[in-house]
Amino acid sequence: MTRRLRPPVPLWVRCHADGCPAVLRRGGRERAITRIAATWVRPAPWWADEEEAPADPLRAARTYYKVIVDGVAAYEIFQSATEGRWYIEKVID
Amino acid sequence: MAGVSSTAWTELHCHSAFSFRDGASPPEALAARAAALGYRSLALTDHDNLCGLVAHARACADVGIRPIAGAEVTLASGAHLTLLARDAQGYRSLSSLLSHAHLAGEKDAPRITLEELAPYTIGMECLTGCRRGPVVGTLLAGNGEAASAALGRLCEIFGAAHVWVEVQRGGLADDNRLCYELARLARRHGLPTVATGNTHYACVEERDLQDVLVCLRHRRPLTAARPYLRPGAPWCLPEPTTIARRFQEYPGALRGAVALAERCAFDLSHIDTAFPAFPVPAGETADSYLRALVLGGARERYGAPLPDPVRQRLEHELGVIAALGMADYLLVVWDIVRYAQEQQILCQGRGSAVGSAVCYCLGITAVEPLTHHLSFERFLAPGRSDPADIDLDLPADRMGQSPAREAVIQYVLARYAGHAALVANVVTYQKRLAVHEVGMALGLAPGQIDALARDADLLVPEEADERAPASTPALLVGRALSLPESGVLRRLRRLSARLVGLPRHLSQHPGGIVLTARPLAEVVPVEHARMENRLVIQWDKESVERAGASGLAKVDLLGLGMLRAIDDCFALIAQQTGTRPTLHGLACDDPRVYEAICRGDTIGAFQIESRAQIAFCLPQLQPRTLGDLTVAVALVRPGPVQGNATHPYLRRRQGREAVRYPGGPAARPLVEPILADTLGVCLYQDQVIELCRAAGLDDAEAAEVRRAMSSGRSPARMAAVRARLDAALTVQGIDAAGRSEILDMVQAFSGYGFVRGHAAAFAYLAYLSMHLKLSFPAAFYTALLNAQPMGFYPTEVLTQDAARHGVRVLPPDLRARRADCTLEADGSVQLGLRLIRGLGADACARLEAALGAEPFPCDIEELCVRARLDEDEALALARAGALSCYIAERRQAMWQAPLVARAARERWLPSLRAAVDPPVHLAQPTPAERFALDRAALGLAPEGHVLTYLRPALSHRRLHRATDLETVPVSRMIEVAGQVIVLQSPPTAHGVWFMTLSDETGLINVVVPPGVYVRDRAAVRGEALVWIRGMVTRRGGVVALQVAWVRPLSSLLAMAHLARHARPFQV
Repeated sequence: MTRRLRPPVPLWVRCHADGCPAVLRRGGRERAITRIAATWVRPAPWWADEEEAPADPLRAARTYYKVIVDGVAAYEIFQSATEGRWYIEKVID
Repeated sequence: MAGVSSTAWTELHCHSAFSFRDGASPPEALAARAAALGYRSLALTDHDNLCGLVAHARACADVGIRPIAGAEVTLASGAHLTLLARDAQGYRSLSSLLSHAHLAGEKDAPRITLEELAPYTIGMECLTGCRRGPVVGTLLAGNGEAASAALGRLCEIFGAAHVWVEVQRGGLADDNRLCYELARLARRHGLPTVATGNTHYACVEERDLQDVLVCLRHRRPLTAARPYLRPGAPWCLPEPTTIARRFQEYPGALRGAVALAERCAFDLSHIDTAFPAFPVPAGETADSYLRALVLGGARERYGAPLPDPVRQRLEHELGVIAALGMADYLLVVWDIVRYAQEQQILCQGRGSAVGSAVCYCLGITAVEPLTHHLSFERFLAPGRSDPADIDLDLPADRMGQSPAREAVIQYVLARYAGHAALVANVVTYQKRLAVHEVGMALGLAPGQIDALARDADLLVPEEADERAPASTPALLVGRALSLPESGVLRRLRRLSARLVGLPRHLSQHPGGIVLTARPLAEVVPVEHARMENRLVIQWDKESVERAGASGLAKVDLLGLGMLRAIDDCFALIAQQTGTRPTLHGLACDDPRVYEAICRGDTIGAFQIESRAQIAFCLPQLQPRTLGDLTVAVALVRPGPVQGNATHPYLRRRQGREAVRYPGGPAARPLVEPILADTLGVCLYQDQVIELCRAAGLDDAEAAEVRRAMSSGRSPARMAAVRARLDAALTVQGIDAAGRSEILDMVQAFSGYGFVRGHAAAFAYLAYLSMHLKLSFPAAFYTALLNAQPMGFYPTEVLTQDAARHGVRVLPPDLRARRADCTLEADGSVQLGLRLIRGLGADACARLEAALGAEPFPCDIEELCVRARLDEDEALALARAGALSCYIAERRQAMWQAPLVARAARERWLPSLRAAVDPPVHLAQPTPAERFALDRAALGLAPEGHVLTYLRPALSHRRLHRATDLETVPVSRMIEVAGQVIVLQSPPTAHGVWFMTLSDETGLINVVVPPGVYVRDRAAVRGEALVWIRGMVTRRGGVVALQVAWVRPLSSLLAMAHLARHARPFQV
C-alpha cells in the first residue's frame, strides 16, 4: 500500500557528485539508495503570487526520485529547487 | 559521455516561436544560445511549417553554426513525426510535403497520412518523434507490438537507412521505461537511436512565457492550464553537460545525434529561386522583346527621334537589365500593367522603379525620371545581387464594387499557376494585444484586462528587463486597478514586454506575389489563404528577400484607397462632362493647386493631409513644383525626422539658416554632390546608398544598407552597417566628430524614409488629388466618401471640409436609391445609405434592389416588404432622416417605421395595426436635436458643426474660435473649445501629444507637453469635445496652442448650467 505524506516530510540526504541521492536517513539511521527507478521534474507554479507565500520551498520546482532503499523499501523523494532541501512524499510498500 | 564529446551533441528537434504558441523564442535567440553552448549545428523543426527557416539559417550563419532544415509534421492521425532535410532534394521534398498537407487540409489544419508521405521521402531523414509520435504513442499505450509495426512502416516508407529512433528525457516519470523500450525496439529493427531535447525555448528563463503561450493556445488561465503545460524539466536548449548526464546510459543516442547532424547539410543556396521565363514571340529573346517594347513606348512619350539623353539613359538601363538577367521580370510586370489597362483598371508603379526610364516607357510608372533627376541605380545596378521588386498601386477593392485589384491578382495567379502565390505576413504581438493576452493567462478580470490594455503603451516597457522599475504612469495605472507593482502587475509587464514582437499567426502580405521557374511548392511551402482562390507561401517579405542565393523576385500589387477614390472621381467627372480624365500626363503646374497646398488646405489629398503636413510642413515649405511636393512627401517620415533633417531643411529653405553639410570640411567633397539639392540634409534612401558607395562600400554592402533601411528596419542591422561605414569613412580621412554626424544621419534612416522615385510617384498622386479637389470638388468629395475608410480623417471631418469648400452635403434619402454617395445635378453630395449606422452591407444591398425596381415603393410598408427590413433597420433609416419622402417629420418616422416593419414581417391584419399603432403627434426636433440625431445615425452632421449648437451655452466664457487665432498676439494665453479630430504622439515626439481641434470656423493646432498629458490624460485620450487653455505660438507661419490644461467640454457646459441656475432670484 502506498502512503502519501501531507505535507511532505523533510529528509536528510547525501548525494553523489552528479547530484543524485546516494544515502538517506530514515527511522534514525542512514540507509543506502540501491537503485533510482525513475526521476522527473515538477515545475513550479511560477504564476502563484509570491507575496502570499514569499519563500515557501514547497511551491518551488521539484526534482523527484523514485528510489529503492536497501534493496527493499521504495520511496518517492524530491529536492526543492529554491533551497536544495530534500523531502519524502510517498512511502511505497 | 562514451565515445562522443559532450559538445558535439546537437539539437535536432527544436521549436521556435514560428511554431505559433508552442515556442517562446525567435530563431535568432535559439541560434545565439546554441552557439553560446558550443553547438556546432542546430535544427529547426517547427510545427508543419518552414516560416522561420530563412531567419534560422541567417542567424546560424551569423553565429557560426550550421543550420539544419526540418519540420515536425502532424499526420492526419494526430501523430507527430520529426523530418529533416538531408540535402537540396530533401529540402524540396520537405517543402512539397508541407505544401501537400496544407493544400489537402483546411486553413491551419494540414492533413497528410503516413501513406501520403511516400512520394516525398527522397533526401529526407525521419525521426520517430516525441511522445505524440506514431511509435512512442503506441508504446505509451502499452502496445509494444503495434509500436514495432509502426516503426517497420516508417522503414518501408523512408528506407531503413533513413529512420532514427528518437529518444527524449524531459524529466517525466516514465522516461526511464520509455527510453529503455525505444532502445530495445531500435536494436530489434537494427536502427540507430538519436537523443533530442524537444526544445521549445532558448533559455530556462523563457519557461513562463512558453506557459503563457500554451494558455493562449488553449484559451485558459494558468490556474486551469496545468494539464496542458509542458511538464518535467525545462524544455530549453540543454547544456552539453546536462544532455550528457540525461543520456549517460544511452551513449549511442548521443552519437546518433552527431552522426545525423553531419548527414544533414542544408544550405540556403539549395533553394532554387530562378524567375520564370516570359513567353516571347517566336524569334525574340526576352532582351530583344523588352528592347522593342521600351523603344516603342519611348517614341510615344518623347517623340521620334529620341533626344540624346533619353536614348543614352535607355541604352544604359537596358544594358544593366540584360547583364542582370532581369528582362523576364520586367516583361512579367509589363504584362500585368497591360492587363490592368485593358480592363480599364488604374495602375501605377511606385518605389524605386520610378527611377527607371525603362519602366516609364513601358507604362509601369507615371513620373518622367530624367526631368525629376531620379536615379536608376536605386532600382537596379550592376553587381546587385538582391532581387528586383516592383510595386504597383491599384485601386483598393471595396465591397459592392467590381474587385479591380483582385482581378489583377487572379490574373497573375492563373497565368503562372503552380509557380505563383502571395507572400505571407507574419503578424506579431503588439503591446495592447500582449497585455490583453497575458492578462487573460494570469487570470485577471475582463474589466481589468481592458483597462490595462488601453494603457499598454504606458505599462509595457520597451525592454523586457525584469529589474527595470515601473514608470510612474504604469504604477498609477496599476494602483487604479488595485494591482500591486510587486505582484501581478510586475509579471504582466514583464511577460507582455517579452511577448511583444513574437509571431502570432501568418496572414497575407497586402499584395506581394512571388514567381518561380520551379514549381513553387518545391521552393517554399504553399498553403490556402483565408480569402477564396488565393494561395500564400510560408515566408514573409524579409524571408523572400533573403532566401536562396539571391532572394525570390516578387511583384507587389498594392491596393491604394486614393486610387479607388480617383477612379470613382474620374467616373463622376465623365458622367458630368462626358470626358473621362486619365491618370497619367498631368502637367502639375497649376498655381491654384499650389496656393491651396501652401495654405494647408489639403484635407482629403493623398499623403499631404496629415496633421504634421497641414500644421507644420506645407505652410513652411511653400511647395510650388512637383519637385517641392516630392520633398514634402519625403520630409514628414520617421527617417528624416529622426535624422534631424526636417527642421534644418525647412529653415534653410526659408533662408533662416545657411546650408551646411554633415561631416565637417574633410567630408564635404564626398557629401556635397549627394546632398546639394536637398540643402545639405538627407531626405531620401537613395542618398544614403550613394553616400555609402562614395565612402567605399561595395555593392553587396550597399545592398545590405538598403535592406536594413527598407526591409526589416532593424536597429541591429543598421548598427552593423554603421560599423562598416565608420571604417570606410575613417579611410576617407574624416575625423571622429564628422564620422559620428554622418553615421547618425545614416542610422536614422532605419526609422524609414522614402526612395526619391517613390516620393515622386506619391507626389504626383498628391497633386492629382488636389487638382481634383479644387477643379471638381463635389465629384472629389463624393468619391472620397465612397472610398472610406481611408486617409487620415473620419467621414465627419471630410463633410465639414466639403462644406468649407462650398459643397452642399445632403442627408441620406431613399429617393437617391443608392447605398453609395452620389453626385447630384446641382453639384451637391447626396450621402448614401451605406453611411447609416445599423444598416449592414446586406441591408444596403436589399434596399438598393428594392429601390432600383420600378415603381418606387409607395409607402414604408411596401418598402419594408420589398427590402425585407426588420425593426432595427427601419428605425436606423428613420433616425437618419432617410424616410423623409414618406414622413416629413423625423420623430414621427422613428415612431412608426419599426412598427410598420414588424407589422409587415408578421403580416398583421389592419385592425391589429390600428390598435397597436394609434396616431400620435410628436414635436418637431430642434436644430440641436436634429444634429444629435444625425450624429447618432450617421456619425456626422450634414447640417453643421457641433460647436454651432453649443456656442450659445458657452457665451459666459471668453473662448476663441479657430479663425480668431491668426490675429491673437503670440504668447497670449487663451481658451478654446473644439472637437478632437486628430490625436497622435509619434515616437519621434518624445512624449509630446499633438491634437487637431475643429470648430465651426476651422481647425486649431494643439501641442500637449508630456507633463500636461500625464496630468490631463483622461481628457486628452477620452474626450471627444475638449476645453483647452494654452499659449499662442507662431512658428514659420504656423499658429498653434501650447497647452496649459485640457478639460472635458462637458465641465464647462456644467459650469454654464450652474451659472444660469445659481441666481437666487428670477426676473
